[in-house]
Amino acid sequence: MSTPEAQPMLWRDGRFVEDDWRFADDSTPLPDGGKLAVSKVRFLADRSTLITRSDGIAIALASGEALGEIENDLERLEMIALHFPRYADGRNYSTARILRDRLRFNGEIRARGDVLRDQITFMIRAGFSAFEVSHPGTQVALRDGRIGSIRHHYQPSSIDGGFEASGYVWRRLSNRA
Amino acid sequence: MAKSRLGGLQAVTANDLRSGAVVFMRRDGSWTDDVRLADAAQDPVEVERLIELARSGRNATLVVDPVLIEVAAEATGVAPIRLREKIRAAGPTVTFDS
Amino acid sequence: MYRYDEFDSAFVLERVAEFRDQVARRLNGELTEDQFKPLRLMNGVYLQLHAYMLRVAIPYGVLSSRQLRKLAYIARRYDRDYGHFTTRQNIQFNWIKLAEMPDILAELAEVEMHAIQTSGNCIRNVTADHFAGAAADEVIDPRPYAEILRQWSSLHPEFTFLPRKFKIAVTGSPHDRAAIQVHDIGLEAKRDSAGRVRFAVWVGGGQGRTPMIAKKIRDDLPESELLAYCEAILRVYNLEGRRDNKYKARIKILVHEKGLDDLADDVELEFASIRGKSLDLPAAEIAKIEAYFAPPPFDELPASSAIYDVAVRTDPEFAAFARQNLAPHKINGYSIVTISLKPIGAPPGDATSAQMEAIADIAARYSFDEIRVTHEQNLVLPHVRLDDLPVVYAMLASTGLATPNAGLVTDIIACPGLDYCSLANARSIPVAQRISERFADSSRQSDIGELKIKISGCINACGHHHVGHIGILGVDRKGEEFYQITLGGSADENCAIGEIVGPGFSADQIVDAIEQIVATYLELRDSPRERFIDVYRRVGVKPFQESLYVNA
Repeated sequence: MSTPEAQPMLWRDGRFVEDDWRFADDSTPLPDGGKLAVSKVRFLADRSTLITRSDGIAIALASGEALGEIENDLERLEMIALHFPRYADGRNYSTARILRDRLRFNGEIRARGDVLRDQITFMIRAGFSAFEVSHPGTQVALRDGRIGSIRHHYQPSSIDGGFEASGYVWRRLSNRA
Repeated sequence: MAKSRLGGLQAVTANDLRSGAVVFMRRDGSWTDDVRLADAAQDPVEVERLIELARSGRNATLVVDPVLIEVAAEATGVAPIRLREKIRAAGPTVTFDS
Repeated sequence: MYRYDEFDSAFVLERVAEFRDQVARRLNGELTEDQFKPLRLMNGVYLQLHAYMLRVAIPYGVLSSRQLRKLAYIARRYDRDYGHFTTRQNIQFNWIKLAEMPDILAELAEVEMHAIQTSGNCIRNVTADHFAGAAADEVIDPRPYAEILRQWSSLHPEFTFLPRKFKIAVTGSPHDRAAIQVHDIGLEAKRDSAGRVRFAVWVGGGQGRTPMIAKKIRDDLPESELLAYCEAILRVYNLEGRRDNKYKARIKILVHEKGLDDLADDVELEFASIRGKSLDLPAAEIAKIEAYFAPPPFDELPASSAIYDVAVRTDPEFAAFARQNLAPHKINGYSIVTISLKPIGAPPGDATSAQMEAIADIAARYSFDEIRVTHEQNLVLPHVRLDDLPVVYAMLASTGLATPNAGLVTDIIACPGLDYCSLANARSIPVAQRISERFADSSRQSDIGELKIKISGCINACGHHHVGHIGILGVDRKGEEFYQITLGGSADENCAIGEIVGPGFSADQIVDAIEQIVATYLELRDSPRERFIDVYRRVGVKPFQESLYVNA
């Protein structure tokens, strides 16, 4: 992809915010304090020390990475970051829905990687709640409120807030103006 | 990335972004829908220059998918060689009339 | 038929506005072609050899006269006065300008149509039996379920970036006219012993480079769980389908590599967490959709018609048409009429604006305003009174639409091939035209009987060659068009993938080769009642090989 990249910015709750999370790689020593996100491999390797930290912990998953080994630790996690290596790799839409619908994960689900404006509506409806955006046009569109022109949806979504049933059981209408 | 694998005489073709029409490039970077008026090159450096020109910035909003094709120099001008490119240049070989 | 309510209309208009914005962003350079391509594909816009092509969805092949007139208008106003009906019951316009695309989508929205998901790695237009609601052998009308699936699959947030495209077909007849076993999901609606609707669910069928017949994953799915179960299949496919090689990305490869039992286990696990919740279909909701497909106000008529009988006796051309292009209707005194878009020597599936308008007029007057598109690239008038057949025939004949060849050797499926398609390796349409001309004689065709020839111009198999009784695949051999023949394929309930008969034939040889195969069949058959496919199943490929390559 030859998409020009800008400095990534974090979009959460309808605005750009300072990213309060630090993403650790798999080899460097863990920092002492602060909110920390690690890979699943790192989490499983250092699980015993990680879950006793006083600050928040999160897991960053690659596209389609299985949830099996971390299902029992979800309650301890404040955030799960799901990576999109290319916007066309849609595996993590399903992962987000499984997290919300089957595993009842209530923390932040963050989209990272190739996050573009024309996909953000789908991501929101699949349960994502925060977006790391590097694409300049998407940053501008988010700031200007030009995201998500479609309010009528033919499926129940993974977030109930913001949508109401409309006509048939499978339909949802966004109550955003 | 634009390295030519073709070898012989070559020209650049693309589709017009707005209409989708088949177009061919001239040496000055302008586009024509008449393959005979395309400019072709054989020298690898010149071929490279043509395709780089076709892929340069302003063409991003003029044409889609510029590529090199093999052509022959005929009395009437440049002519495509492969069947696919002949059909692209001349239109479908079938017409609809019932 | 289904009519948009306010929700549907608002949805489609939002989508048109969104695409208008996306086209504007492409034209002004904000979107690169790499970024725009998947967005245009999600709206059915391809870039073909000569121009942009727009593929308009015709959900499960059902059209009203008003819709068909609009398609005719679009062909005339924005294209070159014709359209091409496809093997997914859709229509394609071959010469559309990108800048005009948003206006065309707005025109389509006026008649409750769109081009959403006619391309891209998403759930494509849901197809169904083209005789739905009319066929005498129908057990359950598949259209309400196809409509529910259409709605559920429209811009599904989870399934818009699948590993590859995903095709669903629905039938409600034991005789499968919808080719469900060569779909990613094939559904057969039927009744259990208590009279309740159940679905047999087939998964992992498909054509393309690696043709596979679907496997039955459920035989007894309650109708209320249709969406939940499909969602479970799609979720497993989305997560586990291969993304490393696009030729191995369809669900058929997952079924093949993982095995049906393991796949079924994974599906059941997801299904367990989805079922019984918001995707459950209450009977009242299904009934609301079914009401749209209530039978039209049929007259109570005798089973036979004197007008029809006289016409058959006195007009041999009408008799030939009646013999070939009519199918039994479930209501006494009515018939199903197939309008062949395969006139001798013409490109299969094409119709001019004038022809579309003529058919729309006939349907408005004689078929309760309904037209169907078949995956065999013909049109259908589903509900014509026997009494009206002679006049309907005369009207069709006056616009070149009464070719009496439905199901015969000249009723050929062909993809657009190298004349239009940027993926093709060889031309399809000229081969179809030449075969059609070779077998033009009507009595010769009817002597040969049912014979389905299907032609694809590349291995993607849009022309369904794998399931043709005779399949023809165009390949590029050192810059020359060559054609490979397969025999014995079938798309119905006795689904089979054709077997390659031997080395390919040049463009010059292919029509002779087909004629030789037909001659061999005629020699081998026990009686005129034994169809080509019956003979093939009885004797196998060998006698055909021998005659083909000895005589060559």
